[in-house]
Amino acid sequence: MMAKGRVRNRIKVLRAEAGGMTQSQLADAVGATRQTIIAIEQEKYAPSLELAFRISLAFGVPFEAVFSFEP
Amino acid sequence: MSWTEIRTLGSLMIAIWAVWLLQTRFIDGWQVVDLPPDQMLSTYVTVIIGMIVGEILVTTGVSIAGSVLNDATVASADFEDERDQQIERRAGIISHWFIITVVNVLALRLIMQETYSSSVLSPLAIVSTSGIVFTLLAVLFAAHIVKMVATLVLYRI
Repeated sequence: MMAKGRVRNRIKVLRAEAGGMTQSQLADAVGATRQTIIAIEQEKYAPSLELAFRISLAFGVPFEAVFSFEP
Repeated sequence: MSWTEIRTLGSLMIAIWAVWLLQTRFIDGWQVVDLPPDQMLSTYVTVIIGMIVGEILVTTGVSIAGSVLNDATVASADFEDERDQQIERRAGIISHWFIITVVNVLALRLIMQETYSSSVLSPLAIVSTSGIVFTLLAVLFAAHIVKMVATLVLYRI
């Protein structure tokens, strides 16, 4: 059985770099709840591909600048 | 605790109240009592109306509380995103398996009771109308409780 990988992200860093964007602001921008953004930041929840792309678009950076995968 | 969790907690409390009400009306000691049809009907109507009114009050209460507190996140209390839907789906699956397990255990227990009359376990008294009504409603509300508890746990892990 294949070991479970982990989706890592730099959302917290990118929020800070975007002038201190709040979790609520990011949630509104991507159409998610603040709780979901918190869960993604804490890497407790791996977002769908669509939401992941929306997050990277909200920061205006490539997908791989936000998310990475640890097998 | 998010507003969605508060709403789930409210729904859980209502379901616990429903089970408590059923237990007080139908159970005496460890036995299901034979209730007259009019009392069974009044209990059923009370529970159903109580649950509907309770759910409306909880939903309205969350909205009002959010407005009073001027909390921006309350706007998202009615909004479900993919994580909310995933949690609801997973909680639904857990509740589904709970029902399957309970129904199978009850069926097997009744079959064993009929097959081996000298069973060391006390016989289940759910063959009367009261027993059937109580069992069906109790399983239904217990499944709802399991779903609400699973939802709360899944939001935290």
